[in-house]
Amino acid sequence: MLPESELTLFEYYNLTSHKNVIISYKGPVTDVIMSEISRDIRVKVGKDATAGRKVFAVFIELAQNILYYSAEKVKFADRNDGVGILLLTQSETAFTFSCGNLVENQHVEELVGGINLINSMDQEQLREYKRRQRGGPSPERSKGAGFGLTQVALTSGNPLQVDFKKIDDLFSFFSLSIKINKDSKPSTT
Amino acid sequence: MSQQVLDNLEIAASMGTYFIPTVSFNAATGECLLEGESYHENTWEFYKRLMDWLNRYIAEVKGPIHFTFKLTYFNTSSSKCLLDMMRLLQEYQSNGGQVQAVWYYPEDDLDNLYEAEDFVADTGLKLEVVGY
Repeated sequence: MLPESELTLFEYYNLTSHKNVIISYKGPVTDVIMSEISRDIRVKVGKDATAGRKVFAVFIELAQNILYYSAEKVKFADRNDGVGILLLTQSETAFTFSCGNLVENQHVEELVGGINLINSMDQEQLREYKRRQRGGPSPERSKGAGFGLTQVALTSGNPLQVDFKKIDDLFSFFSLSIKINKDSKPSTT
Repeated sequence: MSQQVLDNLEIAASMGTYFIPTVSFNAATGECLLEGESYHENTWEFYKRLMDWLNRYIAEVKGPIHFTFKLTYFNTSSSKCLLDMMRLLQEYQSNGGQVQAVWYYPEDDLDNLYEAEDFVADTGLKLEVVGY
């Protein structure tokens, strides 16, 4: 729980200016916002060629999930954009991309099941699973190709870390974190 | 009215809100190039144009195809469409069509190499895989 005292703008500023924070965003995840953030990511993680490519690919898949599936929507004119929160941080050895959005409680079980299945597989199994998913028809609720999370686990080489917080009878807050190891440092000799 | 002769298909690459690869399909020579990054607002619509062209080329021109894939990024929706395209090329190949397909990947990008290997495993397309 947050402390009783109100969060000041200065505290919020400090939080998002933390030296480990590369990107932070909360709001509607539109296609235009996605492309702006993706450019920013390329500039800021570009030094690690391999890890940078992976962070970019993971970002596109996960941000698109918010755009498509967030249960929280902002309606503006004829648009209906998913709302979510995105955070890209780094440590000395890894980048971590996290995203969160509301989901309807009725979809939580299916989502958890899918993620647990992905996390139970090693890289070879994941590759097989992705090929099976890609080769088959897209799942019923899917607006994309239906194997984004499998691809994210495969690209990152690390497990998907998920958390759900039930908010009320209808909605939960779903968060997903994925670590991408930085490129091994080139030898200095 | 007789059907129109198949035109070349040319789409310029762009990196705006979405990432559009260069498409250059030549109806006279069968030289086909797909190069760049692929992430679209409507992926199926984009690739349908390419598939329609290839289907017409195979049905009407019946010539050789020299397909060059040089993609540095593609999202999962594009990946699914690429699979369909490779299936089509493989089908033409196995029906006696002359298909030479080459996949170029940046040598430091192993994920890209694995994608090529997976396309081959899934479709049986004879795909030459070349690092650069």
